[in-house]
Order: sequence, then C-alpha cells, then structure tokens
Amino acid sequence: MHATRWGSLEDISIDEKMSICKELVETARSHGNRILTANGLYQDTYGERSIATSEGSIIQLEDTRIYCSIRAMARKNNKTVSATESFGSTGGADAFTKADAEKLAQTAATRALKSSGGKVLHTRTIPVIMDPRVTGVFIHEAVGHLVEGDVVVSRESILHNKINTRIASSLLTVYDDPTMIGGWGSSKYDDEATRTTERVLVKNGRLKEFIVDKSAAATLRIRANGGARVESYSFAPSPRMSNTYIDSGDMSFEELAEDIHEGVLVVGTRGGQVDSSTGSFQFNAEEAQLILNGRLTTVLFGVSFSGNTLTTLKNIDGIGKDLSHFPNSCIKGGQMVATGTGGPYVRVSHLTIGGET
Amino acid sequence: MKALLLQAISHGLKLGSSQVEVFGSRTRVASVSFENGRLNNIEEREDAGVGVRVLRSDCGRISVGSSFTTRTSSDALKTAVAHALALAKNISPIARKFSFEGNTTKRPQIRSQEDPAIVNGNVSEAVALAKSMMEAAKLNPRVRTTTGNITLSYFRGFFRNSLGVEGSYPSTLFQASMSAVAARGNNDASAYDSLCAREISHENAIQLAQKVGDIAVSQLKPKSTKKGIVNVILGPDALQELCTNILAIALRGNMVAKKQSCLRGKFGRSVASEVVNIEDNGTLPALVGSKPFDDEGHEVCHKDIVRKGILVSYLNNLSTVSEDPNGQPGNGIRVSYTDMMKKYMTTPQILPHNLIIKPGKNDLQGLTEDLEAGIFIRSLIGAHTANRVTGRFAVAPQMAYKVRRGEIEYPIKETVLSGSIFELLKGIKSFGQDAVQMLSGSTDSSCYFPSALVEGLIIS
Repeated sequence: MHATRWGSLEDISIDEKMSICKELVETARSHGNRILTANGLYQDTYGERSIATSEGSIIQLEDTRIYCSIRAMARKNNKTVSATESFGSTGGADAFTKADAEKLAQTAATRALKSSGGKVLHTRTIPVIMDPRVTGVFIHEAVGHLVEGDVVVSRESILHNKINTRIASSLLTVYDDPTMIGGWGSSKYDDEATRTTERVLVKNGRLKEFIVDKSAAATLRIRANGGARVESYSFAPSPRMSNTYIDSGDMSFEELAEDIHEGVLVVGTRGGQVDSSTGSFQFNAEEAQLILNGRLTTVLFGVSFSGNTLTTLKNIDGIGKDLSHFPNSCIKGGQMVATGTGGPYVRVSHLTIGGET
Repeated sequence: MKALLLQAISHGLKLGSSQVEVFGSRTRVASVSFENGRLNNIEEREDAGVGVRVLRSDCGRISVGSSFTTRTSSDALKTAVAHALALAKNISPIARKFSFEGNTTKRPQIRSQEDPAIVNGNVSEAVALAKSMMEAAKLNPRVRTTTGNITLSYFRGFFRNSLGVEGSYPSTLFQASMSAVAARGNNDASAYDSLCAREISHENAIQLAQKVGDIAVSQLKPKSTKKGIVNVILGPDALQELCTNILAIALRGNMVAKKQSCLRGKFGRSVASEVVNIEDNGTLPALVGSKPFDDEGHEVCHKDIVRKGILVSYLNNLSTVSEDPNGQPGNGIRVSYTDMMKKYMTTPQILPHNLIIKPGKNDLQGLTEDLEAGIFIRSLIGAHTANRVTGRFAVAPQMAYKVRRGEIEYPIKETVLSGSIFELLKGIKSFGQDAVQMLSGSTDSSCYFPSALVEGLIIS
C-alpha cells in the first residue's frame, strides 16, 4: 500500500473516488447478514503552506493526503460490536487503490464478525499484549503528550524533569519522526520554518528528547527540533507530535505469547486519554482475545484498560518485530493536526483490564 | 454578506440546482493563555466564510452536494456553488423525501443575550480576566503549577435558502479554563475545570481559579479504594462527559436509522429512573446553544427528550426526520470544534442545542449525606471510547473521593468506573442544585447538568 508514483489528486476522478468508497462498503457487506452496517470514507486533501520569517526563511510546502476508513458493525446474540480499519498517506494520489480498499474492508468485517461472538472479561490485572494499533495510540498518549515542550515548560508533565532518567523498560525506544516518507504526520519543515529531524524520545528506557517549538526551546535552552505545528493560519504554533512510534524489537508474536499463563491480546482502539500531570490513563480496545498457556483462545468483547503511565512503561517486558504505522488525528488546545501512530506488538507484564465496551 | 448569499442562490438556480442553501459567518476571537503567573500567548483572530448546499433533482431522484469557501467574494462563492453542484451529480440519490426548509412564517424571536463587552471589546478584556485568574490561583501555597486560558468569541451567522427562508443572529461566547498541579513532597496531584457562558463574568472566572487550586490540593496523597458495586455521586462534569459521549450521540436520528444507537427501539419505553427529565431547549437566552433557528433554517424550540424516565423524542434534522414517525427537525447543526466557529466548513449534523437536566434541591453536602457511603467523582477521562451501540462504558474517574458516613474522606487512586448508560440513568436517585453549563460537541451546543446520585455502578 505504499506509493510508487507521487500522483496528483486531480488524476483521480470523482467516479473513481466514489468507487473506492463503494468498494469499502460492498466488500464489508459481502460478509453476510451478520454485518449490520458498514460505513466507508474516502477523503483526499491538497493544501499549500507558505512560511516566511524575519530570520530569512521562506518555505513553501505542498500537502497531499489520502485517507480511507471502513467501520463494520456485526451483531450476534443481541450484542453489537464494531471494527474500524483505516489507511492514510501523504504519499500521493495512487497510494490507495481499489484492491487496498478491498483488503481493508475484509479485515474490518472479519474482525467485527470475530468479536461479535465474544465473552465478557471481568476486570483483572494480568499480562497484556497490545496490537500495533493499540501500541501506537498508547505511546502517543502515554509518552508523546508528556514530552511536548509546552507542558514541559509549564511543568504540567510528570516527565518535565526526567531527561536522561530511566522512565521505562530498557526494551523501549520511542521515536517521533516527521521525516518519515509518506507518514501521516510528516513534513520537511515545521510551521516555524525549522527543518524537521527524527526525534528520539526514549532510548532503551531513558528519556532523551522533548518535542519543542522555538519558544519552548528557548525556555529550556535547547535547540528547536522542528516540533511547531498549527492547524491553520488561524492559530499560533505549539509543540506537537508528528509520527510517534515504538521501535521494533526482536520477538515474534508467538514468542511474546508463549510465556503467558493467562493474559489478553487487545486489538484496535476507539482511543484513550491521559492526565499528563499524574500519568493516569484510560484506553479502550475494540476487541480482545484471551491467551491461555501461550495460545490465543476465547474471543472477548472490547475491553478497557487503565493504569499509570510510568508504571506501565516500566512493565513492558516484550517487544515484537513487526512494525506498522497508522493515520490518526490529535486535538490539543482547540487545534486538530494529523499525527501518525505506530509500533509492533508490545507485551506488558501486568495491566488492569476488563469490562465490556 | 446578505447580498453575497442572494447572489449565490441565484447562481445555483441558474446552474440547474433545484434548491440552494447558503450559510455564512463572521467571527472575531480574542484569546489569552497563561502559565505560572505570566501571560504566554495573546491572540486576536478574525474569520469569515460561506458554506453552500445544493439540491439536485433528476427525474425525481434527489441528491445533495456541498462546498464552502473562506473567501467572501462573489466569484469565490460562485465557484463553491459550482463545486457543490458537481458533487451532487456524482453522489447517489437519497432514497427518502428531502427538501430544504420551506417554512417562511415569522419565527419566534429569542431575547438577544450577546455581551457588548465581547461584541465591542478587544483583547484587553481577556488580558484583564487572565490576570485576575492568575492572582486568584496564587492563593493556595501548595499549588505548584497553573495554566489557563480565556477566550472571547463574537460570531454572527447568516442563513438564506432558495425557498425564501432567511435570517441572521449574533452570538457571544465567554470561555475560561484552568488547570493546576499541587505538590507535597514527592506527591503531585492535578485538577482541571472550565466554564462557558454568553457573558463575561469576572467573579466566575476568579472562583474557577480558586476552586481548581483547592481541588488539586485536595487530591494529594490518594488512597486505594475497595472494588465492587458502589453508589456514586457524579459531579456535573462527569455526568456531562458520559451523557454527551453516549446519550447525545445515541439520540441522533441518523444513528437510530443506521442501527448504531443504543436508544433504537426504546421510544416510549423507560430508559431512566422516574426522577430523570431531560429536555433540549434552544430558546433560553442565557445558554450558549440558544439561537432563533438551526443551521438548516428551522426554528429552534423546546423539546422533551426523556419525561419521567420515558424516552419521548429523538433528535432530527431535515435529512433524518422523514424516517422518524414522531420526529421534528430543528437540530441541524453545522459542528464547530474550535473557537473560530467555522461552521460553514461542515454540513448540518444532529446535536442538541442545550441539553438540560433540571437541578434538584440538594447541595453537595446534602448529596453526600444521602449517599452515606460510596464515591464522589468530579470528572472522568475516556468517555469518548464508550460504545454508543451498546451504551456500555469503562472510564477512569478523575478528582474522585471516598465518601463515608456522609462525609468526603480522602482522594482515591486510579480506578475504573464501568456500566451502561441505562444502568446509570436508571440508577439515578436525585440531582444536586449545582447545575453548570458546558460545551458539548460544538461551540454552539451545550449541556446544563447538575450532580447526580447514582446507585449501583461498578468500581474496579
């Protein structure tokens, strides 16, 4: 699903765009009557940004985006569940095809059908494996927001004084990389005309870098690292994430699961929230599956999990080797910006999880 | 702006649209943010734009296209109209009956409640407010960090369609928010609160700053609490979070029609305890969601949603009302998430204007005495992850306290509150007198909710 040609959006007719959207819905619905509804979305945008500064920078950037999503809802025994799959790229008009739409819709429908037969997990504290989608949202909320320069400067973040301190398991390395080709949160320059660079937020468990704009950089007496973003010309820039992800490890999914006597795999998410000053968080997973003696067994309904950020980061005890990235959006201070999230499968030794959402 | 809208309608009809609807707005915003006793950002912004919807009829088959422009020139608007029509040609026809608003009878006028200090004011008013809040925040010596924001927005909306419906209304919005971190030794605790109103209130802003600092301090040294089924007091914020993220969305006619609402099939049935009465009232001048007509030109009125626990109405716009045999339109709102109120960029969704739960007679002390033992939860995080189809939620309480023998005893550590919206609504025994207004899903949609004493939710 990666772009091989950086085509123009004008190359795609409205009919083609409509046919992609129809493909999403029809493929999902083709999975039978238990698919209650399917909502497909095709969205593309083209924008230009111009930034000039009194320091002499004049930057002009083009921004081409394609986003597609499919939400399939399935029903069984009077229980309704949903599964959402999405694709987003800044990689040109042909980054997403009808064939990609078919695959995306098949995955969403299959996931919804699978979890509609789920059981309820009563709340307990057990090992949890997060799938790449959950991993990405978790690290965005649990680390990304806490290292944005404005909350560091105001000392609202629990990480404001933790540079070079161990805040997580030594297995954990976290990047925020606006230079990623085709990444949903990518840009060559930030909105203060600073050239962007890959930022290593956490290296082997130690906090290494904050995401800063020029203002936060000056206050913290560090170099600006291209973290200034705005929704549009209407707003002042502030430090924001780009593409935030946990770096891959060396374990297969089977290896992550094999030591687990009783645990849960969580898949997909409707989002989460973190209190940056205390680190308490709440996340939701669209579906889940019980792991017993290293094997995936009973399918569960969507679950909620919560805890404290720093404790959970320290309890990461296994990182998978397959890295995936996903498109997301992030609202902060009334401004919405496109952010990428990602990671591999990640195992946490114990986490409070349960409920039926 | 009015002449421009008329030109757009003429152009749309000339190009072959069977109906045309235009919505324009002008917005002016002053915003000041502060942290730790200093102002750190001051902004004044202006915005204008026009959103267009056209209805195309082809052999009785109707399709709707939409577009918008941020350039308020005749040429830009003509281009937007042409784009909307081109899109309508490519969109599948809608199966149901649909027309833009055609009722041109005189609309009931709501008393205008815009604040002249916001209409005529500038950023200095916001700066003065921010300084007052910073002073108030200093009062508690245990408060280590404070950040906050004041935003003053003046908005004027213009509506016209080709069926002769037209109107214009002004609106002002005052928003203040504050967060504080308190510290004792290695123990940190935080609190956050916000307020919104039509008119500036220095007194309320100062009270907010003091209250947030005090709450942060009251959160220090939390203790664990026992798991199980408990009775809780949900503060106005907590009740609003759950109702906005589940109830207000499940009430939407389109969600009901798409089988994506936990309220589907519940019309005329009990969904809450008998003490629960919920209404949507867009005619009350003091509430920020009030307006003379919705964003489809339909007059706004008072609507009972839940009467003595029985669901008596869903919310509809012109597009969904034909599928609801008991429905009325009037809740078509172009959603705006930011203070710039760029409503013209979106098409009408379905939202309440002001969702209201009538307050009770008890103050917080009275509610805790009635509760006797349980948990008092001021706020919570994660309500947006609730399942709107099943109504189930599992959220993390914030600023929560253990209540014993009718007294608030101590703050509690991280925990999870779970249940379904029906368990919550049916478990409500009484309401407090402390109703507050909060924005809910759009800058011109609000909730006016009090605290609620609820029996039988799960803490884990």
